[in-house]
Amino acid sequence: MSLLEGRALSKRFARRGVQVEALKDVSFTLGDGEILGVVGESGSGKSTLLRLVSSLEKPDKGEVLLEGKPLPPKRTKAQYRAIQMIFQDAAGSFQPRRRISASIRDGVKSLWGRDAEPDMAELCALVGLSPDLAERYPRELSGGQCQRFAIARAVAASPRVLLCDEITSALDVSTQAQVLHLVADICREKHMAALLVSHDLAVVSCLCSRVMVLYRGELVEEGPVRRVIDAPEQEYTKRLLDSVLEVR
Amino acid sequence: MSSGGFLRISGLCAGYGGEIAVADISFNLARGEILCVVGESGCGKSTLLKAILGMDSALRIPAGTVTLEGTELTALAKKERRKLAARRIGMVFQDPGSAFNPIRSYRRQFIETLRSRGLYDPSAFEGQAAQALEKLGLEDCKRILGSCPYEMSGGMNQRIALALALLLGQDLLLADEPTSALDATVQLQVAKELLRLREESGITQIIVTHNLALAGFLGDRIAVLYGGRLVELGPAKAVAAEPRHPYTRSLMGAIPTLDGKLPAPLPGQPPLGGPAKAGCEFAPRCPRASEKCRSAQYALRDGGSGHFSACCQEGGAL
Repeated sequence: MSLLEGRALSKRFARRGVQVEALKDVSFTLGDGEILGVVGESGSGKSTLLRLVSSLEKPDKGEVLLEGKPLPPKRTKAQYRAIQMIFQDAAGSFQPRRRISASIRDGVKSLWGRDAEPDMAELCALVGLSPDLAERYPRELSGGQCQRFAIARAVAASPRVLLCDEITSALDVSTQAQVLHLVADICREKHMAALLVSHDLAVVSCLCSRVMVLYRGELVEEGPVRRVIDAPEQEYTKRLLDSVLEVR
Repeated sequence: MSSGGFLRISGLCAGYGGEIAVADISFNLARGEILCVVGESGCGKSTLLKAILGMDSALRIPAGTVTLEGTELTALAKKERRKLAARRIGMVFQDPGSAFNPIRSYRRQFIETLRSRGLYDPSAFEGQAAQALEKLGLEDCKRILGSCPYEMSGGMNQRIALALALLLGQDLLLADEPTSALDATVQLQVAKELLRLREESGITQIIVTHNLALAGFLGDRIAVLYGGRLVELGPAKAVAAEPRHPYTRSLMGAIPTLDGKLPAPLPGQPPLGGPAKAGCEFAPRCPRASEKCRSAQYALRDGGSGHFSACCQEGGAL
């Protein structure tokens, strides 16, 4: 039995009166401790998929199962804790007028109950930041620092699955490398699985064992990362690979 | 330094308030050349572009000169400088939406911009606009001009901003992370359009990016900025294949590739306080730093074939 499963997930949005099928009949499975990559261009349905899994949006059709049990439309706190999401705009995912530590505390209380307190020292150590930085406001931190705190906030829920939506796209190369290492280390140490959405196949190749390729809302190719990169079956995957600029 | 006299930057220092963000920047560009400026967040890349553009009145330039085809921009009165910059220098920003008002049609914004520079000719406008858009691979000029920026994707907006620069006849283009907000396939497309602008219209470009792979693809030369100073400058191929400064080498190692290995992150954080008075800025993070590095005076040394490095050890060679 897989840890997380998506079955025939579909979602439509109305955009200026026109119905857009953001996701068409997409199914996937995620094993315990596995990192599954999701690649595709803007508009391919990557983020919609994560939003359905995280329950930020309700699917029109299909269902999400955690450890074989379908997740209800209204999830329990334990189910919310089990699946945590990290966004591209880390600073924007924190309340701008509250200190980072207060935002993390709010998150912990809402998920664990009013009496719960996060261990800030431990969380900061986990993401390699000084606890002093947690007393700052999001605007006083760099993008990389904000992203580390966003990871800390997600980990504070002791999730089974991390949903990562383009978490390194707004960072420069050296910060990107640091955050990629951090995600790899945390997933290994805490035995967490992850769905990693990125438009950058190189990022996916260094973290994931399997990858799904989405195109206009449909799953066009899926397989082990190495196979998909070395011998892509779909024209669209080849096009994505051709657009990766390599430095050497 | 190096060939070319289209744009000459000499000993340029710039910063905000009492702080200096970039210092001792010198390089020349030939007409039609593309220079890519790379470095981490906060290294002064954007400040350098603003100092060349000269439109930001809060930016102070305490030393150095910027000379565009014999005209020393830094010596001009503010009004003169802005006038000349508006006519000849185009600027493209990272946020594709920021170049335009989101809810006014491109046609109105194109016309307003042309008119403000005294370049608007009603009878020729549609033809000129179609030609500029076509050069960027955009057909259906009527539909594009009639739409508003909010209706367009990031990649389209970025290309239309380039078309406007072309329409204005600007011959120096400054681009600040023009592809960073775009996804990989669109990134490559915009990069190819930038190359085409050079091939077909001879537009000289300075492209700021943190993406070394993009710099290698686009640039004739690459300049690496660290802590507000140039630490390496050379032909793009040479810098990418044989980086001479330890910082450039670390930066290259941090780029994820398709080989499935996790990239090696640089230890520590880049400096935020601008250029140091003495010693190499990179020394605290450099795997090869010695006592000499902590006291060395900044100088960019030529290692041959126009490939400069500021590393004080062994002239920067491996």
